[in-house]
Amino acid sequence: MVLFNTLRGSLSVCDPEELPLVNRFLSEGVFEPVSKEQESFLNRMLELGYAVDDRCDEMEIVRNRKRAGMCDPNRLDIIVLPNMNCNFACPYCYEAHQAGSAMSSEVERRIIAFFEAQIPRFRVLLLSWFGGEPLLNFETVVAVSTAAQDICRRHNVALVGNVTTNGYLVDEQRARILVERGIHNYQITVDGPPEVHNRTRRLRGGGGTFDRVFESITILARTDPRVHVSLRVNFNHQNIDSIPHLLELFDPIVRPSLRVVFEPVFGDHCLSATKNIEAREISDKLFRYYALARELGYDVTQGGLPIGQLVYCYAERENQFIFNHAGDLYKCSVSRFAAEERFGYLNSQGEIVREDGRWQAWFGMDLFDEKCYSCKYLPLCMGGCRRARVEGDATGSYCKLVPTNVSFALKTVAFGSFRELLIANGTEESMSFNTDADSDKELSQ
Amino acid sequence: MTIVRKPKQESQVLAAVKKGADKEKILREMVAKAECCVDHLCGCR
Repeated sequence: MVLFNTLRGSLSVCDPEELPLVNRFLSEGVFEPVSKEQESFLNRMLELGYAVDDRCDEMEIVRNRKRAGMCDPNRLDIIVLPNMNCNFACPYCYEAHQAGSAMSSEVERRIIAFFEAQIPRFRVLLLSWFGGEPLLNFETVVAVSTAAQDICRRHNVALVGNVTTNGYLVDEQRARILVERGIHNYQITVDGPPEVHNRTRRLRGGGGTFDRVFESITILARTDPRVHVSLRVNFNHQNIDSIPHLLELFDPIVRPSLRVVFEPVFGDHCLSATKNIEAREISDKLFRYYALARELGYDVTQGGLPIGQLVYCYAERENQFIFNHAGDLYKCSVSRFAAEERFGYLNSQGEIVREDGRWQAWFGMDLFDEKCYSCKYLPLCMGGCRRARVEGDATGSYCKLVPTNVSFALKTVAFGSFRELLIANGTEESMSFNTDADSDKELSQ
Repeated sequence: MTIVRKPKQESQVLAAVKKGADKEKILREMVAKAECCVDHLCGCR
């Protein structure tokens, strides 16, 4: 039997002779020791966080984490969309692209003015480029990143630069320029080997993209040792089985710079992964493919048990802002970015002018929904998708935990394979699992 | 009982959001707790 505490992260494997006592402890809720041996056992449980003193309010600990995460004073998170345009036409894309949309030099100036005023207040700037396809407006990316880098240097603020790009417009010169601006993290999607990728990641005017995207990833990985490329595969029933073949294609030399990320195609449509594949099948395959990727030399970080998560998503932080090409402010990147849905905008001085109604709706709600308080996974999840809560929408990743962009640990909860994750995190030789259907009850918290 | 992992103390959990926290600690936490793929540090853990 394995004990895991979702609040504290303690993970233990019980010896067979301890099982009767542990079972009693777990089933009774209140445990009154009647011998020295039981007292010693209880002390151990207390020390490891499996038992709590009556005076300890664990829910207040969770609420305090959430408040601390939302008000994080050290980290400024900025996502910039220099356009809502894209040169790709992927059938599962949720965005409404606007051909010709592009950030003006005036909006660039306002963002830089915002940076001048705000960056010095923080310890770290996380500057992420998103779109559309951000590199269609390469000059904007360079101009704003250059300014951000300069301000960060002057004020001793760490800069973490990221770009989510389809990779089609990266070449050696551009890779060098981006890396020099502190952009060391990239997310590029490859949906499989050429014949598979080219079915979904197509140019807007038609035509496959695999060769150029593959080349771009290799260029980036070779440009600088600090570069990490999140090699993302959006999978569904049509391509999940091609992942092993894709993993064989990259040169072993660049693999350590490539962090593999397998994400289900999400949404309520016919291409959705979870509408077409059984959750357990997805889970089994992901475990195998991540293990294969690790064997092949890729950077694989999945499989850990993140403890002490403070918020569900970046959009819950008060110091997180998305600026689109028009200088409008949003919170969630899964959005249509319609003007009427903005949370505010940057005025000519680079100050945020909030749309109070939307801002209040976003941040004014309770920290958690009522049902969250009885969920043992709450400390891992921290309350689910805020946008879904605001919109009163019980779909998406909120509560049903349809596994979209949530942590791998939560995906395993949603796929019904959380125990396998615990096994992977434990010492294999000392583990023997109770396989009955109610074994979830054994997970403490 | 074999302890695979010890419990985290609350001071550890909140260390990176303490006012003026060490930059390296904040950066490590950003990687460890990247919430979602838009964090790009991703691999979400």
